[in-house]
Amino acid sequence: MSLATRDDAGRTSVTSPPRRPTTGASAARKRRRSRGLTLWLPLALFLLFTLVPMYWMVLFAFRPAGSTSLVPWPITLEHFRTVWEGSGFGIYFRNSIAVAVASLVVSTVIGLLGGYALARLRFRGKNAFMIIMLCTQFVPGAMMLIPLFQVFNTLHLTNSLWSLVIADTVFHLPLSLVLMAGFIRNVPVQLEEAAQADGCGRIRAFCAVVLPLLKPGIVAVGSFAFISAWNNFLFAIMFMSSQDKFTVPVGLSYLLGDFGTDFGALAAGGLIAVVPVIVLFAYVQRFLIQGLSAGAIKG
Amino acid sequence: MKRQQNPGGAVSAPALPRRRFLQAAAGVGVAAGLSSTLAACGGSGSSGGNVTLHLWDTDTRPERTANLKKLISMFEAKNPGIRISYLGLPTDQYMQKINTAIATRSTPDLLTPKASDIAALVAQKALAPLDERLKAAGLEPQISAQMLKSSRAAAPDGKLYLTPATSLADVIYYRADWFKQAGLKPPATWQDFDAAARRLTDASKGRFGYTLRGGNGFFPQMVEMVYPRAGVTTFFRQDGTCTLDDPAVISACEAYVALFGKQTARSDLTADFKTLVAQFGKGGAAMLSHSIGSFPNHVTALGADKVGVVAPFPGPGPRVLSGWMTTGFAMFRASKHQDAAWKFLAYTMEQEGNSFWAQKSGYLPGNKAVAQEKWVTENAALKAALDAAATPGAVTLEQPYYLPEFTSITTTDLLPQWQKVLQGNLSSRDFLTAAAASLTKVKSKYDKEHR
Amino acid sequence: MSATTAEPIRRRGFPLPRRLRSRAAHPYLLIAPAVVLVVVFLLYPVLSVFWESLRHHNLTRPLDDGFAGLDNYRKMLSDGLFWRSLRFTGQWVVVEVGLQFVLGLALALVLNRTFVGRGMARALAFSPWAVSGILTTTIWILLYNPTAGIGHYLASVGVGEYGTSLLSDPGTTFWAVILAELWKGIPFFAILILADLQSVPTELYEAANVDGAGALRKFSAVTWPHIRRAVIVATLLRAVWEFNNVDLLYTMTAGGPADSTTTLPLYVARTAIHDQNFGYGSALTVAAFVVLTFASLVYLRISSMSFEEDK
Repeated sequence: MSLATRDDAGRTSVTSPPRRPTTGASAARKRRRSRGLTLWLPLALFLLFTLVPMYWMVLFAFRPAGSTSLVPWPITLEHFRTVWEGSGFGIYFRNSIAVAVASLVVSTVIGLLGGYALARLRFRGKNAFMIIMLCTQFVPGAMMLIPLFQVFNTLHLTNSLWSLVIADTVFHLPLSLVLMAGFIRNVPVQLEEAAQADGCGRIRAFCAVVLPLLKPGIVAVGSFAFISAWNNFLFAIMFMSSQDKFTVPVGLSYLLGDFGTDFGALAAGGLIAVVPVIVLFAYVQRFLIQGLSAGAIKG
Repeated sequence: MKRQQNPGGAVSAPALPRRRFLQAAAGVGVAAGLSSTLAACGGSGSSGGNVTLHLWDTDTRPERTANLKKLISMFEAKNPGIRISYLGLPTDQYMQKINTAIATRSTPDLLTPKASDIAALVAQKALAPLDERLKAAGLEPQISAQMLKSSRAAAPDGKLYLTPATSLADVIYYRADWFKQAGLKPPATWQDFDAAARRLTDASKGRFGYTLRGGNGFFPQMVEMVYPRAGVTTFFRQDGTCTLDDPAVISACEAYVALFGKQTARSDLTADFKTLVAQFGKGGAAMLSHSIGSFPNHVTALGADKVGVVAPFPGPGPRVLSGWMTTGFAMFRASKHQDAAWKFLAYTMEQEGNSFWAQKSGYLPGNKAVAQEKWVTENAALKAALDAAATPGAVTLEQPYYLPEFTSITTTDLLPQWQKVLQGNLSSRDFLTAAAASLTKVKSKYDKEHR
Repeated sequence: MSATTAEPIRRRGFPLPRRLRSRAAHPYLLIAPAVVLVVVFLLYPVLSVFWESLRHHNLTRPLDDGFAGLDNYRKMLSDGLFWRSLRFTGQWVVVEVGLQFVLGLALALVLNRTFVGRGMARALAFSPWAVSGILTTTIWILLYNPTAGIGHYLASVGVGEYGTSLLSDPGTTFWAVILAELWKGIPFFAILILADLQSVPTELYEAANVDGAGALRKFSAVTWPHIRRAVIVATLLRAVWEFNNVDLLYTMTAGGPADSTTTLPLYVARTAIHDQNFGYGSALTVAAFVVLTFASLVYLRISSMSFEEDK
């Protein structure tokens, strides 16, 4: 934090002359104070709000059962051992990854196609299409389990991870479509037209010009799809009927059995489930700042 | 394999760029690894001539799963040719999963239901009756008569669907170390209980005498704390009316409610089991009512020397034993391997299987010979429950699990009313009178249908 | 991933089948996968819920099953809990989504600025979105637990009383669950808006700076028009999700104390799933469907949003 402030202050005094006519030193102080109020203070509050519950999870995961200490010390790994050895988390982990990645790919692709149609093409029934997509969200999945199961059964997809990919994708479709349409719409249509004028087909123009600019959008849509599939519990428990097809949330629910309230193990399992996703986020978040502002439009 | 590619095919059929996209994704290496994982599903068919039974467990937690798998492998060792494939269902969703399976004709062979689940399953004709098989196997004399009766009483038609392998029972857990520090003897009467609850409450230190279940699942705890104290031994009177409005029950309930907010944390208003256990396990409460099943959890959280166990105390009249609910195994009517499935059910009642399962679960064994084994009295919770049962004239309070509406009335319907009682917006008397009336009503409907 | 997709295509060229060029078929081909998925997988389940609502169907009482006509709906109109839960659902959705959006927008604006450690801050601020639902509720239950939670430690330094919890005080339960759901919901909006903010050309800000526009003016003239569409649709979808959010409320309060936090879908879950009364539960679901359809159309109308609208 102190490092950042120094960087901030340094930059203010060296570069960008103040726009309004004030003396240099007081302007710098003012801007530093305003940066404190508009950047660091809200950021700190948000992070506090985010991290306190996270810390609670870490606390329960690492401190011995029965301890009431506020610091997880001495550290114990017993809960992780319980979870990893006792609950078959390895398999659940693999299944979750497979389902989430497949949902990500399928959602993104369908989102790109449909989103392009919604954003760029004129066709009859566009509004009706979107309203119907929206309506699919109105009935909770829990109320449709039996008929949905019958559909998958007819297609011989029960007890196949594909049923989870499909169910997760379908329920996530409206968001993928609408978001993608929005992102595509924000790419100036002139870019595409210029490419087409250069002799590219529509698809080629899209792939060569629009797609690179859609990175933030694809990352956002993809991560939403990934995470909603990663965390889906109901479909996994309802459509799978063998132990080696279950996913991480099912494994987590095992730690909350009838008399089982092993919060340490649950927290440990939760950490195992969440760390890879956070790492993934830490990596992909950089793509959230690429796109138009990266200078593509000028170049 | 072929079928599993179906959705992918449907998805990538209409236009080209997606196939390109997928190819590119595959190039990155994602799809390749993925499809192999997704497709690696086939495999687990039955191996030559052997029978594979599917068992669904309704209370999955790591220790129990390990025990159940051990029980299965013990059974498999004795019965070559029968394999049991285990599936653990989360405790909050198993009924939904089973109902879906019944509706779509995809039930497994075996299940581990509780007495309170039986009515709904029998109503859907999902389970196979076991009376004749039990008789033919000559097992009946080996099983506790009381538990057999409880098991049968759980079904609307009085047949046996649930093997009386084990039973739960209510106990009261207390902090032995706090009692010792305060110079209190282990509680033996309701007066002791009340006094200890008052004595051990120190709100300024965040310590309360008792933790009361005000939230989800409040009813069993209420029955445990009210019926033994009132000395009322049956849920329904001879004339079919419900005893919840009995004056003794009302005054016992008032005493129970009086604990709230004074000898309990005010937050108990919405406390469910997890909250109670966290509170007891983290030193927030001196006493907790629950079944014998959670004993190992308290020992893990606090250490064996800090957890004391007693059965609910005697009141006026005969001693009332509450919470004696059978938990066992059942088989589905649609099972294609009923003979093999029965072999497993029998194994859970025979001495070897029953002994292992009851001991590891910490439940009361259904097999009479097992009940005599030494380990039974070494488990403090079982000992407390059995000592109470050995009291001359003790009566088991049977809850009417056979009434199809019993679960919905006592869980969802009554919960909001109960919270009004705790908040002081409804009197115990009005609450219990209304509850009794609605249970009397469903009971008389049931009686008409079954007589 | 998109970069790797674009690369080989540019290299190898991309022959376009003639039929794809035909203007009329094009858009329908593009939305076909979405339509097929919805029709194949959701049409029958949704219709079957409507059909169930016209039947008596209680799993625990199969003898009483049969066609009910409008019985379930008649029962619903005189069901006090239905109306109360509907009212509470409205309150829950408006407050929850409103706060999620405002705070999510603020977070996105903050995280869009340049500062040291931004990548780390983003990953951490987004992380709750990645925590599975079953765990979120458990974490918050533990946080609110009177002995294992924050309240206990605060009480030990003299703030508040022992043995109390925001979650179980009738005056604060609502805000306690709102807070827990915000934890997960704010990152959703923040990610979305942050991604959308990238499409705002920097030139526009520079132009605004030259005009001497203040921060508020810049927001309303430059930023907002760019993110407006996404925000309207995202708030709508989020509102539908929060409307149907059952798990959190069920686990944290079970609709209590004394039904004060029972939403309509929670009532549905209790009726259809716990009490196994599918007929009435389906009728309640259909009611929720109608309410949501109506509310969505009104929302789209007053936000003057049309999917047909061209730029």
